[in-house]
Amino acid sequence: MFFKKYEVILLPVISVLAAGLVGAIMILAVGESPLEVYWIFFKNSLFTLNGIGYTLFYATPLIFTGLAVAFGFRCGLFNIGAEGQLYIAAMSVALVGIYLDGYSAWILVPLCMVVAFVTGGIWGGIPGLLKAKFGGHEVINTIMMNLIAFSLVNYLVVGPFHRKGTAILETDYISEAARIPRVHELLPFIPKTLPLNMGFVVALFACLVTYLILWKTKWGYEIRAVGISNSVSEYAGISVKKNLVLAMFISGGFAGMVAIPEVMGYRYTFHDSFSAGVGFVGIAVALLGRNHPGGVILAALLFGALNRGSLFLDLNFDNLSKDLVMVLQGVIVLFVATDKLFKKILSFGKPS
Amino acid sequence: MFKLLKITTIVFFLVLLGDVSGFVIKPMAQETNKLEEQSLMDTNWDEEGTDEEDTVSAESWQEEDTVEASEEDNRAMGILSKADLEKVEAEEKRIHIYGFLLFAIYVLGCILTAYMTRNKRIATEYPPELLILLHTVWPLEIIIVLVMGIKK
Amino acid sequence: MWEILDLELVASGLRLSTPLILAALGGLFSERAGVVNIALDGIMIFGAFGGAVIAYETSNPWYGLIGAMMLGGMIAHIHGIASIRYQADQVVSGTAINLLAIGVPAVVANALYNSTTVTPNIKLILPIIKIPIISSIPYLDVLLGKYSVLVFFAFAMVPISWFVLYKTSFGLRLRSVGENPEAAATAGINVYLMRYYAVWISGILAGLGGAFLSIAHGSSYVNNISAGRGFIALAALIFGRYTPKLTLAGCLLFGIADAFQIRVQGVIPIPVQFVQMIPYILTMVVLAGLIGKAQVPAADGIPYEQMK
Repeated sequence: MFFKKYEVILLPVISVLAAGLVGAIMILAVGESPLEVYWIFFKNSLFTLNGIGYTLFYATPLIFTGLAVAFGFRCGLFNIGAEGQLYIAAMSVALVGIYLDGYSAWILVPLCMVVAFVTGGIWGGIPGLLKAKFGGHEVINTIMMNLIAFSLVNYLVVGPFHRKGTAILETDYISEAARIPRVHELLPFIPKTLPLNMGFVVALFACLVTYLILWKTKWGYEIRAVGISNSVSEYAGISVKKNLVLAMFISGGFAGMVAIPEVMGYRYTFHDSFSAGVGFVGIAVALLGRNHPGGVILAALLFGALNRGSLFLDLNFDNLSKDLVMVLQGVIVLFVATDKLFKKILSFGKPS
Repeated sequence: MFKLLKITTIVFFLVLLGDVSGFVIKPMAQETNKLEEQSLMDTNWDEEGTDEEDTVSAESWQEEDTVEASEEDNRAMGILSKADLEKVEAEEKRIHIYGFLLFAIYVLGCILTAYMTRNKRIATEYPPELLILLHTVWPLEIIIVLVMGIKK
Repeated sequence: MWEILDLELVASGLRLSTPLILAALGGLFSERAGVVNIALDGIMIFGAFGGAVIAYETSNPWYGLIGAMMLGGMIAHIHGIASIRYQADQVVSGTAINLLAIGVPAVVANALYNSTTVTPNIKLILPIIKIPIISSIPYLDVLLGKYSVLVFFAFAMVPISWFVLYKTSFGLRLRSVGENPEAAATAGINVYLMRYYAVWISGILAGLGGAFLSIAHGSSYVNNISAGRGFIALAALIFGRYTPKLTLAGCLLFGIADAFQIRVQGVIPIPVQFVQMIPYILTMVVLAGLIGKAQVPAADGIPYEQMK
């Protein structure tokens, strides 16, 4: 029937609309008008040049973490550790950018990108290894790795690598050669204050690569097979353990690549707690995007827009803050997870 | 069996009533800080009282003034005198005893209600999601069950 | 450094394992009935938040406690409905609850108190019980003399849970639903209902665990009050092979590690942040099965489709 074919796209859309409804109820509960709130959201994120720019800017790390979680899901793994992975990678990239000062940009930029991927990958690979070898549930292990990462990175930025002479919790600035250009340096009409940078292009590229790997290579096929059924894959001669570890490594690597737009393209330093839960929102992005790179981009854009819009909530409304967005994200995940509910609604009227 | 439910409900509401009336009188203390209580309790009240008794007869009018003045000072500074402290402690004890009873009744009520209604209409004919929801507010559930039972 | 290994440490450990015990027992009921509940941490946060707010508004910590119970149960019920009726992936719906637990308290606290990170201080928190006779015995008084009422409750819940799970027909039905729901259904047990009960109970207990943090151990709700305890409780549960007694052992282990980590800060020359990692690393080591492999209930995590 009509609905069945477009179900893949329709279900996420309905989930978002339903979450919007719940959000509207919450907004009413605190005494504001949902129409006003949503209008402010969209006006400031989609209808101004600055808005679009910032939406893309906020979406970039979400594309990376969304890819990370989605990739993990494709192998049947729930990677909640994106937050920790990106912190470790960011710190590593910052350190490389600071201490490998003398090298030229041709060496440093690719090196830093590789460092971002590898360090994030290691941080993700450890829970993967624990799962493959000992059967330890990756949900808890990745969460523990997160907490460990937060402590570790906090120590490093407060202690040995703290930039001298300032109270701000940051490391030194990375070398000029390790930085990637901002979009406004390349296109004339972009406002100079926009931090949108080439990291966005890298993110899109990463999505393309993901798509090619998962659907156009034998290895990607194996990963997806393991995700669908461990036992059948074993029977078909696919090494489940190897793929689990590899998938977690890549997943962590993608999460680590958040360091590219953040450290190499925006802050040029490691800033304590720079990630506002990007790793966790990545879960919502992956689920909403149905674990497909294309969906991830769309979902990341939506959440990026929400992030951008939420900044205007504090200004315009007394009783609302940006945490409302967190609530909306949780509700979206809830609705996406219970897609059977919407399937029932969609099939209403069809003979059972 | 219905008698048991009725009795439970009535007891629950009685306790609730007692609780509410108790809270019309709010505790006088500004600080319920445990540390402060500790240091105040460390003071040997017995000894203090004896001192006052000895000197009262000798310099009664002077002592009275000083005692009253110091008590007023104390009250102004928010430090509790012995009488105030006792009142506060008694109040807190009341709250805790009533609170604990309330808590126990709520828990037991939940369990009892769930057990009693397991074969009733409300459990079998309505979805389980609703049942759990009602268990959370079991006094209401009891009322509903009674109403449904009468209409049979 | 070894001076800190004294009875006071053990007492602190017992105190700090209380929220873990409550949450882990909750997880026990849920998992035994076959529903994976990783939302324990989120429910703890809701319990802590709800308890703190209600206790502040009504100036009565017991109302807060009951409120935390009700709220915890209801939040878990949402997870239950999503997982049971709509067969959502149980890990995903649990994560949704955890995401909500990050956002909702901040929004509500902001609306009520203009702060997204703390609630106002509660003047009267849950009582600390001093057992009269024991308080005068020199060593016992440190170990047993002074505990919040919830600590006793939590420890009492362990044998009670054991009794309910293994010695009542309710417990038997619950376990059978977790092991083999099809067979249970054939025997006339309402699988959905039993699972709903299990999830509801897990919510109540986790909510109580959270309430401990804000109205018994502390005196307000603060951002990230749970510090991952819900997940540590889950690890303790897996460590305890989904049985009450061993789960208690696991919780005590993590509780004492937590107490140790707090005591040892500043005493030894290791930076604070590394010391804070100890409970987390311990969790991972435990989970790696280096300390026992778990017997997961056979139908755990698999949604059950009821033929109607």
